[in-house]
Amino acid sequence: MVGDEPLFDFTRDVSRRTVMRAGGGLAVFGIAAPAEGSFVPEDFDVTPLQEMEEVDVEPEGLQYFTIQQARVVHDLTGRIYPSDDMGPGAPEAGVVYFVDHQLNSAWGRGENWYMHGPFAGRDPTDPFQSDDAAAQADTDVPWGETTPAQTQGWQYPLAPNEAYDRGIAAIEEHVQSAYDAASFADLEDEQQDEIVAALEADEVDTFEGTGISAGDFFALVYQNTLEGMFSDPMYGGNREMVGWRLKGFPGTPGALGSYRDLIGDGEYIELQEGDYRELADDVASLGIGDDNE
Amino acid sequence: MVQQLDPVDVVTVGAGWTGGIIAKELAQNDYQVVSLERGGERETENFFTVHDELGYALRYKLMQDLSKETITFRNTPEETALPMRRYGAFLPGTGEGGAGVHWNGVTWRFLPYDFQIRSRTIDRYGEGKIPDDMQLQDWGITYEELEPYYSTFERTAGIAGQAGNIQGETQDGGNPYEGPRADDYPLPPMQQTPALERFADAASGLDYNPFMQPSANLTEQYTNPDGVQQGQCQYCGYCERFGCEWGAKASPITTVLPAARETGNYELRTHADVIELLYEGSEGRVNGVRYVDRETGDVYEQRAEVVALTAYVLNNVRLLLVSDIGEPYDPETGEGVVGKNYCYQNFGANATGFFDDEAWNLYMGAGALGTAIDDFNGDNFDHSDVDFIHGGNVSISQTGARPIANNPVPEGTPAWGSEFKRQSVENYHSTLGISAQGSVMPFRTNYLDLDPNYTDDYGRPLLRMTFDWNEQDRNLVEYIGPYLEEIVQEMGADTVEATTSLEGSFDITPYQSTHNTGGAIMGADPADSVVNSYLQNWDAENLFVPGASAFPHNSGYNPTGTVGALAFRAAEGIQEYLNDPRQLVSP
Repeated sequence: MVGDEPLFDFTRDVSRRTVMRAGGGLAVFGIAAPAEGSFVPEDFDVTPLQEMEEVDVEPEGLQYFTIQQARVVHDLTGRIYPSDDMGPGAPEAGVVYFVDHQLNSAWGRGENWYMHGPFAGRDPTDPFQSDDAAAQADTDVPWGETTPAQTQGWQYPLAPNEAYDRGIAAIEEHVQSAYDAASFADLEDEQQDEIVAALEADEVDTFEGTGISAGDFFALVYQNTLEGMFSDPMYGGNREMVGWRLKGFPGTPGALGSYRDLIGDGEYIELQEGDYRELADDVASLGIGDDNE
Repeated sequence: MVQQLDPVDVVTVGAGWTGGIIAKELAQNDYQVVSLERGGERETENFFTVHDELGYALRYKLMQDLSKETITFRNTPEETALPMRRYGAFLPGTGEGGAGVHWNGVTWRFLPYDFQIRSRTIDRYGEGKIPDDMQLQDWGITYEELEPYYSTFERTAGIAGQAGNIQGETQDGGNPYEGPRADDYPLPPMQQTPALERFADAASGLDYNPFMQPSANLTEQYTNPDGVQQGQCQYCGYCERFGCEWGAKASPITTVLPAARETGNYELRTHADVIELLYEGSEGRVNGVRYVDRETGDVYEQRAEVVALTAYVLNNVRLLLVSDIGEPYDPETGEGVVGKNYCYQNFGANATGFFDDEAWNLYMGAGALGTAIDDFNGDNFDHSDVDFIHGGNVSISQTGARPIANNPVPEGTPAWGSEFKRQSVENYHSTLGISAQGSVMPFRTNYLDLDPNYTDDYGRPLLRMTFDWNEQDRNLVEYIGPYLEEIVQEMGADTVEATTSLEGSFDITPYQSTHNTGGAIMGADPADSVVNSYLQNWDAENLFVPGASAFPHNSGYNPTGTVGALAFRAAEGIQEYLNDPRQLVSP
């Protein structure tokens, strides 16, 4: 019968090192893979949260944005999830690099989105509005005058990377007309906050004609900001696990790690939001790291 | 050129729970079975790097590729439907194991009431209780008839739970409202946690009947009746939208598909996208299916004695419609059956408690780890004085608070900036929520048909969904919501926020539930159903269409337990049909 030889011996304590080599899945340690065959929490040198510094925005690290676009997104995400007395935020987590890398991925190019026309609000028979006019010319819906309902979701003919290009340009245009400055990145925090609030409220005029509303662009940046704060550091944000440490999320129990012996316990496990040493020790006490020799 | 392949006994369209169950049952009885799966192969080893919230939960690694095929959506028949261009409200899976790989694992039986909902409603409240445009139907099968198949599914999957009613005897700690079970669950319930206990104590204090909800996250290592072994749940908190690296969440790839392969009578062809069923209307049969090999572009016809249409709900209905099988439903006249009674799930009633001085390890969890009460579900309470029927199961779940998606803040908190940051960090470990999983009844203008404007990448029409909430749904939320608020207060929360009304139209953008149901419904009469109680199609006698597409309405529970039971029932029907080809049920 099936199952005489199980895929794994579930009773054996599977070597996590083996799994790490096989799949690299021990996400909590993802920023600094331990030397072959060793795991000693002290070996992990991460900056205490309060000493984390803002990342440099340099052209070398960018895959999609121009340096000017990157400076805008760095500040935009920094106002959404700021550095403050509580601790570091998007500027320290390197969220701009996360967003940049995402826009250079299949997701950023909209490769898994349905992007065929007709698009509501655009006339498919107008060659300047549609790429596949011939295919759509025979429909009897007045597409140009059709307004999507809010409940129907994203109806722009734009992938995320195109939405960023247009959104950033509209913000810069708004800054230049309303603030007597060259770029959003040149404004004071309070001025940037005004603009973020206006984006959220869908009240930035320069978005007219860009093909995306200010409110929907805000929603996209907002979602990406949280993703860049709290996703696995391998995606380019959440540097030194800053988001996880801030929140008291212990990474993950790793591939083939377990909370089974802890979950029923009444005790709340206090994960210090301070330095990584304490976090690593707590992680070890959760049974995650201590058998990594 | 279309290449003809040698005929087989049974071909299944997809290799998820329903296709896998049918494949296993028939292959074990020496029939030759082929499954055509549009996605790729999957096995447990694929999930060693699964603890990646971005990749799996937010970039939808295990879901259907919308660039190739999606649905269009509108709220009412007067509107123009537009494509679901990116994911939101629900997440159809793809690949070997289908949505059965990325589910949470909550595995209910529906109530005896569900299967006879129309007649029982009329018996207890009179015909006037059913609004004119609510197309309420009995299922053509009773709970008692379906009970053995539920039992088989639970033993095959290894469901962990606390029985509430074994052969009419009420069991302590179980759900007192459940239909009688022949036997206990194969595995003991999941671990109680402090957060769940808080809910259970509050519910008991208010004289409700809390119990651990049934789970396909296995509580012990388990060898099922087919000899397939699964692992033990480690409560890592990565179930829904993820696969399990422990092989500890029952799925087709950990249960029925390995058992089917073991027979030597089963072949799974991946990247095989079925585009049409070969329907011979004059003969009342389907000759097989036509499919495209996604990797080569080659087109094949696979002939079979029996075709099992075992795709996801939405694709089952679409393949019937594009293959011209059965009369499409017309909401104007109420005539026609294919696409009728599309239903969903209503999570409108919920309550959240913020606790100032308490915290829990909420990042630990499991997809089906939860405590529930059924006091507001089905007809478990008197509906004489309310303007709705049915209800919803109420539960607290501890599925694992992953950090991107979990940023709880009290009402009035700005959505961004320092105050948002402070509140979302402080409340991350200190917020408990409960919700009602509201049932959804069928209404005249909620249905599925083919879209006139949009096509997939083969040029076939997309499926069009027309759906909105009705007074039934709003009244249900207004009734149950305040009880949820009271429970969370009883749990000792310092701040309680409850949603006690269902505002606006159904919105396809925020995630709600992948419990889409209906469109190819079962029943006793070909005039108002697509399949009989064996899930055998009324128009093509060698076509079986199991899945949640067969539900005439959606209950106040997760659907997979009932999907699994009906698939075992369909497998039995297919065997009977192969022994003696005929309509198995006379109308």
